[in-house]
Amino acid sequence: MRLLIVEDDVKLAGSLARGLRREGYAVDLAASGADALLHARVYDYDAVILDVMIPQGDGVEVCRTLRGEGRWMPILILTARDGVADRIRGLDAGADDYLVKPFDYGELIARLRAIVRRGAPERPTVLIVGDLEVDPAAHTVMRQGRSVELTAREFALIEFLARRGGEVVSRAELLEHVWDQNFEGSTNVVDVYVGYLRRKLEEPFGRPLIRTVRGAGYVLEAA
Amino acid sequence: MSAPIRLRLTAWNVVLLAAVLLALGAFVVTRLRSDLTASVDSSLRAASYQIARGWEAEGTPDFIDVAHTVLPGPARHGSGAQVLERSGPVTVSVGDPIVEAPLIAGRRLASVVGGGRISFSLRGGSPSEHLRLIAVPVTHRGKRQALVVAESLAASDHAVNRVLVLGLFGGAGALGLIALGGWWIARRALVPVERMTSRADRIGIEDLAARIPEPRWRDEVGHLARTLNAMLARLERGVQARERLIADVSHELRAPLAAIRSELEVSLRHDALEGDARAAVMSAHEETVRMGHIVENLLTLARLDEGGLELLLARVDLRHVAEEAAASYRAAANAAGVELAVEGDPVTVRGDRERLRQVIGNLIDNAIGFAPRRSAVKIVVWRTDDEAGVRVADLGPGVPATDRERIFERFERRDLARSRAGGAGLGLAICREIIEAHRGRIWVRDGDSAGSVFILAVPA
Repeated sequence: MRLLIVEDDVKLAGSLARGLRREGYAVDLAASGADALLHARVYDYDAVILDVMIPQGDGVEVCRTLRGEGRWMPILILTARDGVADRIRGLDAGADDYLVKPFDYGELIARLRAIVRRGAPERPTVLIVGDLEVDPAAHTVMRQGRSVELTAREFALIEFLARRGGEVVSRAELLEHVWDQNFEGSTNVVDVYVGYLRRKLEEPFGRPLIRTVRGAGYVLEAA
Repeated sequence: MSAPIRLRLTAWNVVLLAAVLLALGAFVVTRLRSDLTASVDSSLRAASYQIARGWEAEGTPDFIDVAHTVLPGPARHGSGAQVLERSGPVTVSVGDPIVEAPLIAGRRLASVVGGGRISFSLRGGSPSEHLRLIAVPVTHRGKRQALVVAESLAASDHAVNRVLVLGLFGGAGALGLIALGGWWIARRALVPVERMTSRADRIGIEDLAARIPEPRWRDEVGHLARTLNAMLARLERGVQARERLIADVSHELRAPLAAIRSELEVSLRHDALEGDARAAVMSAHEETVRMGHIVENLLTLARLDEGGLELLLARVDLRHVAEEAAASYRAAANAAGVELAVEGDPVTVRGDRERLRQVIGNLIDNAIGFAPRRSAVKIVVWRTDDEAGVRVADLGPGVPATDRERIFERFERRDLARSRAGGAGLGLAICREIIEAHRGRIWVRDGDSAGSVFILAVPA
């Protein structure tokens, strides 16, 4: 298996390369964003370990670029920041998992194995269902190329439905994933918000988007 | 308290008014008196002219006639006229008995007889006898004499007294009103200051973003508010700078710690280390892990101070997280002669992977610290219908019932115990904050046979 490690801390990069080679991987090192892209475009890697703080190109941007170019190999992000926004930035850009520094080397090995095991299907970050485009990272929604303004809750709802595009999703699931787990309201709030979404995403475009499945829930379908 | 200020303001007001009233009163009374006297003088002059003419022309009969005519009721107190010669008794007199005796004498008499004219006042025996007199020179039958005419000042005295009395009562009343009114005004003026004081009183270190509402007016009170707010802003910036420094420094430590840890772990795993070399590397590794925990706790603290711990919620397997946490403390456990055992089935909850690991890790760290050598610390993952969690049990001395709440207490932010960053003192408080942010609970009870069991529970 061929790995690309993108890390500008020489010692860390060196020790990881050493260890992973002993584990049986072939390892290439890149110390900047530009170098990383160069490597990735020339060689085929089975996985990439990518530090977010690198010179000449933010690690997250590298990730986004790689995905944009149709490269779907598993990517594990390394970050020194443990804030929520910092942790999900990488995931939103298309990475598969992250580790906060300082991390356990054993944990790195385990996570690497896990993401490689999951395989490398196309996992675009922008969710597309028919003429609807939902970009979780940029928090934008477009239908037929036109941008639509949604509230945070409405966005969370359409994102979840889009991720499960084509599948019927129950109200209970929506309640659990889109609303706070201790939400004290009724499941009716799901219906209310689906109503809002329909008003914003169906009416102005004259085409249906969210179908009600009686007794089961809702499904996002391309018309 | 402002009472002295209010008291002072009112007192000064009253004193000032009293002084003004006194001055005004004195002025008015003096003027009145002199005006009234002048009016009496002018009437006396006219009277003395008439009487003098009568006396000089016709003598006594005319003297008496004219006197009766021009003097206001001659028998009335104080009015009268007399003629005097240089030496000797009264030649003739009319009116009030007082004029039967000479009213002037000596040098004064001599000067009038010699041609001068004087006006003066005289007080008689009783308090109501107050006379105004004029003495003019007259000549009768070749003899040079003095004519003295007197009028009572009773009326003018009465008028002045009335004014005085009115003034005194009025003045006292005014002073009383001013005292009350002034007191009330002073109170009103100081109400904004009182409000500001109580508002400022409520602002504490947790609240440094708060400000005192600034009144519109650009006066002393507004200035005070603005100054206090400026001071609060400076304090806030100072505290924030301090917190940022802690966060920045802790953050900077992450990169070198990551590098060291990686080197040591790779070496331990892949290099043929033996004996002392292995022991040394293991020891260094242990300390590195410990430093990592301290940095993590410090940064969490900084975040809590900044006002909020955000959680990255995802589906998390508590068993896996517990194993990760145990793994990071295995070396420390070995060094303490304590065995770590993770038990229980995998259970998925919605939580923040890193923060839950931090909590379980802190509990394990705590347990290792209190567990006796050659004992085991059991980490058990459990679940019920609506909750799931982790129990960390040790066979140490246990926690006395009185301390069971206190040990989780959120220490004062002002606490210098920040410097004990790695100690369990910090860890448990952070645990509570994190678990409560997960809408869970964390508590401690006695172990079945000995020691303590720390339990965390989150909604399943």
